[in-house]
Amino acid sequence: MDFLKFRMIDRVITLNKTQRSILCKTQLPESSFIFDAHFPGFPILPGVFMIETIAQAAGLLFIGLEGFKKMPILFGVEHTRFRHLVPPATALTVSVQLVHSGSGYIVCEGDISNQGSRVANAEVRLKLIDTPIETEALQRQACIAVQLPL
Amino acid sequence: MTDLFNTVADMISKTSGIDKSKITPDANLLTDLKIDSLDFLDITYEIDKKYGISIPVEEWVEEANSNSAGASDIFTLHQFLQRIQQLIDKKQA
Repeated sequence: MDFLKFRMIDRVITLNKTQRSILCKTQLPESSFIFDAHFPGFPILPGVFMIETIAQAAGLLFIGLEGFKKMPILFGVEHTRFRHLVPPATALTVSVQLVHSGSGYIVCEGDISNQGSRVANAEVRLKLIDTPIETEALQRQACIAVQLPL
Repeated sequence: MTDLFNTVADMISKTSGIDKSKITPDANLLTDLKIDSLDFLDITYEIDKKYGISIPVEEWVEEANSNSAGASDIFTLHQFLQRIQQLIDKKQA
């Protein structure tokens, strides 16, 4: 996880096109300006970053399934729970399943776990917009960096 | 159709906070009820999920933006529901 680059996912482990699911890993840094502020003397990962982590995994899942023609943009979050505190240096597993593919949007359910124990879950809704031509190469690079099978 | 109307009217009211008395068959979802695009996606998802269909919203928007006869009325609730009913019937056939 790289807060400065806003990259929440380190690596894609598996992309299952049949089950429309993705499994990813991410390692929290030992120190960060985020942890300095959230909270001073008691560093834990903010819940908004867990939502963003699930949303980014959902975006990778969509690109893995459909390619770069459309760009998924988060527009809704539902049924969210932050179940356990997540301290620095934790290794997280992120699992996302596409549960509905609509016209111009998708809905995914995501879980984040730490050593098999679920720490957060959320349903994310992503709107599909035409990919701006200038971003496609950058998106491709970002996907390659996390080893998304393309 | 009455059941479908009541179900979808409830979804619209709950999602967009529109008073149910204003949701009439003749109301246009976009111009009269002024449902914004994100609420519209949420409503679409609720309908998709409940009836196990996938409303081709993008296709209908393209049609509504075309100049073909009657196309501008697609998002009048009555016509919108007729099209949804057709999708439901097709799925059940």
